[in-house]
Amino acid sequence: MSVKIVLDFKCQLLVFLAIFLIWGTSHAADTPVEENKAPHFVVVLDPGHGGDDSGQHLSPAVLEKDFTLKVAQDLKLRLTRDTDKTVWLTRVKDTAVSLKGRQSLANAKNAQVFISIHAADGSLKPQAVFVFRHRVIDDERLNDLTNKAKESNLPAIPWEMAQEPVQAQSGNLAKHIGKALESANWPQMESPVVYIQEVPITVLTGVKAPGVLVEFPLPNSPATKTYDLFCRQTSEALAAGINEFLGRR
Amino acid sequence: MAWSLRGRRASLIFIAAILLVMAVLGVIVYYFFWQPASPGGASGIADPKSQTITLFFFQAAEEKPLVKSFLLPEHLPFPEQIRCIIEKMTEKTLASEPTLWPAALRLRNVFLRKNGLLILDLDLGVTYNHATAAGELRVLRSLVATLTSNYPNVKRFKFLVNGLEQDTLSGHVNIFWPLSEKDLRP
Ligand SMILES: [Zn+2]
Repeated sequence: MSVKIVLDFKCQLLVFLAIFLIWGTSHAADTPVEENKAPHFVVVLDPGHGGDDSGQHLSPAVLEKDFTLKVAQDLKLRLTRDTDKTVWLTRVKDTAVSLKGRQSLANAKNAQVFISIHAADGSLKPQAVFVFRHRVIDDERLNDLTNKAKESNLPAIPWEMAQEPVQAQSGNLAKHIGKALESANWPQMESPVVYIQEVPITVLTGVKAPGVLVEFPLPNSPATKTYDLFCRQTSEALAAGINEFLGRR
Repeated sequence: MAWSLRGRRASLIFIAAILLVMAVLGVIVYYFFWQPASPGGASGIADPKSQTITLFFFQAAEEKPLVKSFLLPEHLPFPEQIRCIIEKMTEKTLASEPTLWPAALRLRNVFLRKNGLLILDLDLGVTYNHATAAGELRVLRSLVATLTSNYPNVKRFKFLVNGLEQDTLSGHVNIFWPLSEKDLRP
């Protein structure tokens, strides 16, 4: 009799544990931790050029590689004011980083946005800001790739196709950034025309995240104050475009 | 006396006939065989074996290119023709004339494959130009559009620098894979 009671007790314990486990799992599934937590975004900024590669000589005192780094650093500060973003730079000082290295960093950090920053001599008319998105290779080029890979007994390289799944998102990112740049207030310059163009861009080729390359026209020989203001305006406009994109993804 | 008068009249008629025949021949030659020099001809003397080459200069932001043309002697071998075209495109005679990176864009070699792939091997100087993305696009698009339009058998372009494959000319537009005119249309 006493044995029967013990077994019953064991059975009851097992049933209780099972119910607790089932309830626990279902409860956990109903109220995921993520739901209460704001989404976290990873943004990778790519200050163009660096090291031996100075980029364009924008004016006697300003090189493209310095402008791009200054804007990227300022933009990082702006974006990380909100705690929902982690921002990485492909270079943090005046060093040479290969174009492949920049793309690899974006993929290694699981970026959700990739922005490559560049500049042009703004004394040339008409002043224009270019927002380039990558043109994914066409079928003919894909055939070339596959044949080349077959010849050398290598698997077809997916690198060239990395932007294909996010093509539409890259287009959206370009639109948001273009819009933010159009409404920015630029010092010592009339509002530049913003062109969004789709061409094969090397630094975007292997990036899995939505990405664009933006090229700004810098006023010729700006005074230090104007230059600083221009850098701030540029990063402010970029931050607005990125935030808009992330909010509407 | 009568003979000499008749003889003189006969010789006058003879001379007049010759002049008439010459005039008729002149008219025939002028209308059927004479080819006036083209307005673009530098010497004013026609070179019946020359072709008009149309050059396209794209401004990165604009859809419509600026157009220029010149006469290229047809007897030149194909690589020389391409060299001449690139020289014309990089030549700057007037400040207002369109041009592509003077002095930076020099052709080392050119090969045309049977499948329509044109391999252009450029001098290393092209990479020292510190061009912008928009500038690279402008140059590549102008070159590709000009050569595609004048040589319909050329379908795609592979750019080499000093005989080697490169990712870009100055860090922006992808030239690693062969490009067609369509690939560079923004
Ligand atoms: Zn650049």
